[in-house]
Amino acid sequence: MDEIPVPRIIGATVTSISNTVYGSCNESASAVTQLLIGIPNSIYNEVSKMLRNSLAEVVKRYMLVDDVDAALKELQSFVDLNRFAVFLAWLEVRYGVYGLKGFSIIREFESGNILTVGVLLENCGKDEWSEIAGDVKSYLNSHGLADIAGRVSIICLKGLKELGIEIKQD
Amino acid sequence: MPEGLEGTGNRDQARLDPQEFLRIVEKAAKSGLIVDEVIIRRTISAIYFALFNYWAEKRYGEGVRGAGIYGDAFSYTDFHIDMVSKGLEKEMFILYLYRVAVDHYTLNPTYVTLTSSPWKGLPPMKVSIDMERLREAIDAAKKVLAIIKKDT
Repeated sequence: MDEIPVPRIIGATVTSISNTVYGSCNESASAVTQLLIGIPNSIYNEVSKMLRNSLAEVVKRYMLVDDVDAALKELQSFVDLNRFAVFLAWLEVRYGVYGLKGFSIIREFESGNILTVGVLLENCGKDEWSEIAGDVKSYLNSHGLADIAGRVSIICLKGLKELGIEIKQD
Repeated sequence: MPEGLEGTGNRDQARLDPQEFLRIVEKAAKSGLIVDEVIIRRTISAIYFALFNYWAEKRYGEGVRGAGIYGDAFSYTDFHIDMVSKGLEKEMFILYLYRVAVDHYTLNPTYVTLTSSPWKGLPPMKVSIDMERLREAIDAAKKVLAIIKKDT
């Protein structure tokens, strides 16, 4: 696994982002600072800009939905949007090469409740799937985002096809 | 706890460890004893719920309480959250997808849909219910079981 790139601009802006995501808790702010250090300058600046308006915009960019407002409301009942946005930005950097298609809710079949948030990677195969998932969860758990680690599932679409599961085309 | 609400079974030791069940299922699969679709369907479903029951028993033993009079009813979501937080996405997704296919869909192969409006990102997936799916479910279950055991 390659080392995570370090952005040139860190410091006050990172603290601002951290406080936006975690409030004024220094310990948590430190955790997200560590996470954001993995984001290269271009994407980092873009994320910072979006944060000034709303981190929800980051989430909306990756939502695969018909009705954004209804979906956002439902998503908020399951994950912290700000922390989820930070995760998405980091994932785009870390594994964007695999094609981050977006995310969608997966439901419990019987109850209709949310089972997990499926984050879809287009081009990772069945043998890479576990390695990527393990790396992502290890990173989230060690950087103060354990709640996100449990509520999102990496889903490798190429891996599903390799397992003989045909995915219906839109 | 009030008298009569103790439930059944010895809570000091795990009664629901599915290791032996998985061993028997694997042996049956290799020996040609699983001869038709009904047995494949019921076995895949049982594998999922054997893991779910064992995980719930472990949680209860750790002092976690769910729903119900005894607090011993947990949700699939709780199970899923705990397992995927440890990086078991592939295994849990396979087990859940196949479990839904065998329990809720009649045709074989069939398209399984795991999302609904307003979400649309994960298209329907065509699943064949056959021995290959059963073998994948067994392999995934062994990995999930190892993590459940390791955590306690």
